[in-house]
Amino acid sequence: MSLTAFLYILALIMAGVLLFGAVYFVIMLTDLECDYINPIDLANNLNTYVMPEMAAQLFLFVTFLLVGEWMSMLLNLPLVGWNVVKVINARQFYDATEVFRTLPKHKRENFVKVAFYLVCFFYYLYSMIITLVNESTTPDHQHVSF
Amino acid sequence: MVPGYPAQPVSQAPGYPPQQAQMDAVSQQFSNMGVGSNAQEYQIALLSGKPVMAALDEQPPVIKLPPNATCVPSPNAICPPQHKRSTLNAVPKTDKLLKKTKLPFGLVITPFKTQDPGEEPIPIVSEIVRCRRCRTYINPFVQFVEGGRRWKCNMCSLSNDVPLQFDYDSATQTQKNRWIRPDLNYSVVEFIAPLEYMVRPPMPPVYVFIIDVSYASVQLGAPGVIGKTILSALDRIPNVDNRAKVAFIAVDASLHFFQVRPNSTEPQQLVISDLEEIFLPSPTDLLLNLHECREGIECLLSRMESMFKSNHSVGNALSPAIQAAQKMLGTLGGKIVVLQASLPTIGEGKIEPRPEGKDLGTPRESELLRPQNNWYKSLAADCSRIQIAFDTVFIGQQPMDVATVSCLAHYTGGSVFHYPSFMATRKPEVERFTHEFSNHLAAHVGLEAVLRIRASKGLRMASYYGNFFLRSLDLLALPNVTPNHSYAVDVEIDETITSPMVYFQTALLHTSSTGERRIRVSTLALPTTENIHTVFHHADQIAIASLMSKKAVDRAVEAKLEDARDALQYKTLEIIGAFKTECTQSSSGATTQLQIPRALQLLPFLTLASLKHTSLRSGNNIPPALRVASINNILTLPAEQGVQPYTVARMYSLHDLPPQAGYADENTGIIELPPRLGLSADILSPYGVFLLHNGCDSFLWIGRDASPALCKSLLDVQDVRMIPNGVIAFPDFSNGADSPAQGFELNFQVNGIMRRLNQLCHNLWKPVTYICKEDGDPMLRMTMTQWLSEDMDTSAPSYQQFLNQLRDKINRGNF
Repeated sequence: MSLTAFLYILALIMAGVLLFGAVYFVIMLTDLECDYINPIDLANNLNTYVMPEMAAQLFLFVTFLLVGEWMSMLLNLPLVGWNVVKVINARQFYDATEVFRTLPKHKRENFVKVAFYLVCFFYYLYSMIITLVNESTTPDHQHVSF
Repeated sequence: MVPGYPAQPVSQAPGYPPQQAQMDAVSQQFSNMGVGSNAQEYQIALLSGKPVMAALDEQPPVIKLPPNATCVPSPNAICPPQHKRSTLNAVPKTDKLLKKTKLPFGLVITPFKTQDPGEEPIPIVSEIVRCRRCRTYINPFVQFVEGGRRWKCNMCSLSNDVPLQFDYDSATQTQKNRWIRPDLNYSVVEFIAPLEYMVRPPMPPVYVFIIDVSYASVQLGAPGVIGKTILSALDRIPNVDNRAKVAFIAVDASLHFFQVRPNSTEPQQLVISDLEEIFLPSPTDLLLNLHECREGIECLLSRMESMFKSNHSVGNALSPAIQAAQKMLGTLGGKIVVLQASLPTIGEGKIEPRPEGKDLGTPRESELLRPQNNWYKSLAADCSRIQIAFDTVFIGQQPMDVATVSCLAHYTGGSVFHYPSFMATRKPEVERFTHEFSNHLAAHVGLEAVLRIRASKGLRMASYYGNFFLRSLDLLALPNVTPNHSYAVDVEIDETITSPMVYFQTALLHTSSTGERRIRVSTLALPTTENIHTVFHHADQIAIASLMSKKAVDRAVEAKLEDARDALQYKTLEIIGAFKTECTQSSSGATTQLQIPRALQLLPFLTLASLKHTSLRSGNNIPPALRVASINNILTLPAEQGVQPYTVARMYSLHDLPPQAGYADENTGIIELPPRLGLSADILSPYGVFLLHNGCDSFLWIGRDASPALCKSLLDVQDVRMIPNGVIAFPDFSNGADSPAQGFELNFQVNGIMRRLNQLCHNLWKPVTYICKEDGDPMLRMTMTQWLSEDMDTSAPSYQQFLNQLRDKINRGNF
């Protein structure tokens, strides 16, 4: 199995995890709206996952860049840019005192993320299959099995 | 039947539950009629000339409730505007209609108002009756149905059982008259909360003082004055059952704790200079019972000055001190009073000095109004959960980053005080500090409070303004509720309202300083209407101005000052434009006159005054500390005081006072005020003496040719040239007596007027008096003329110019 195929398997798993993460964020924000959780707990809870999420996404972006998977890299580029802007302006964390004011914005952002990771998930799945199929049909591969 | 009630315009005999059918019929008729169709209220004012200042003192438009709106005909069922004030006293039935009027819809609420002189105390009710579904408290607007066996909730229309104790007293086994219950007669009542409303026993009042004793503070002489002030206020700190506790932490580059053993008179100072990990030097005797350790505390406070007189330490370890105080309060909760004179330089909450000068007056200025880091903000949020509140007091002119540190108070329901010109050698400034700070300590604060606002179906609370922590969409957490702080809320109309009335109910659950758990409930009922004229003619301009200025300062911090000013002007323009197109004959096309409903005649003037106020004023000469403090005042002041005198000052001429002005009225005991003047320099005549009062400061303007007799009677000075310029402690030659000293009648009257003016601001401030002579210090004259809101200055046009601008923009359809 080639490095690319291995990368896509990894990406697939990570996209799955990130998707779950984004869904979790949406659930937490909805809970806040319904008063099941208070803003301080919400902020403490979500803020622990903000940086890991960004790191994971950045990691995928960088590896795609290194391996030369241009399409996947471009797919990830907008979110990386968005995250970088947020970090530069120090706006990445949830602020317990302001969260109600920005709640609609946060929810929208996380819905978009859910959609994005879902698209990513299927794109990685497709890419993985293509890569594996290509590998198994290339003469080079046959040579190895010989 | 309630004895002593004046005759009510209600057809129904009191003592009987109203009949629902009759009620509906009447309200139907009522809504067809349109609220307030009488001609007087359709008066339209032309905007030209001078603003009608007398309108500032008028009552808000009458709330015209349909007859039988209440279950008992009680004159106290209408919520007093001092408790809760709506911007619209006739609510549009649809959001579309509201949008058409462009008027802002919201409430300005003062849930913890103190009792004014001459006002009845708030009635207390011991049993709580609430709607099963929407948890609304029973109020004068519920209807009794099924022969009085059930009551119908006015918010959600659910029928609830009437509890037995309404008609029968099981203790004395006698019949009771339910119609005299205070909760059915008064719109504002206080319920005594039973155990279900407590998570723990009611907490005692607890105060931790964090006092800056670094070099900057010692130079101003602050520690000594603070010590003396707290010492003089010890007897006034609410301490009914001797449970109140206090603690003191002095802060420079290290932390100084003070330990007093019970019944010992000798306080011990424990100094901690290792601030890496915060720990308390002693597990006990730091948080002192005010009663048991009284002697030790007195000894400590009186030595405050001598103890730190020669302190040359320059650091300020505020954040370790706060962490230590937090540890000290632990699960108890309480209030931390932070008295600062320098920038916090040590610990996690260290603040970098921000260069201010070059950003003032530029779009980057708002940056300086925002906190520099999130440490104080998140600490405040954490503290709000464990019922710790903060008050922040800033003393002196050293850079202190008021914007960052005042977050502590902003998110915990506390107060912000700012004394830029404080110095222990300046007597009026010391007096001001002592008076205001000891009054603040003596205030009967509410502890561990939450505030919830409920409204009828179809209405939604959108956003809140004030000092609090928003715990969920409709719950404000207030670890401390400061008396007379106000909170504003934007209301949105989500669905079409079908009922003839809507209701707003505010419930403030708090622990009183006497250790009782109580709920203060106020219910406001407003009629609804489909008629756009009615909406306009029942708008409350003071509430509108107050809400708009609160929103504007909020915006100034969140976005830019410039945006806030533009938004404020644009809103005014929109309202006048909407009135023109919807309600006047000349709906399109140019007009030479601006027309506006009489109820809103002051709106352009109030907008202009807001634009010229320290909180929003343009220009590069307002230090951020001053701006932050005044923004905080705008956010916390009730509508009445926030608009007048804090935004629109009061001015009186003293050389021609009516004879009774300044004397107490024989019947009411209230001191009479002279007629107020317009705020324009035109009236400042050279032979006159004028008083301008904006709540925090008062200016005595003395004309060049003021007569010697006037000077003598006012200040005991032979000639106008001998009157000093600048800050003075205004003398009282009668020494507090009821009648003036011979020859000093004017002095007595002016003292009376000033006392009354302070009383109108709930004695929150003790203004410093500036003597501002016509030919005196130009800087001081400029400070005073800033308050002459009708005149043109560098920041904004004059009133007449402002009106012309509005008219031109409206004529061009340019809004």
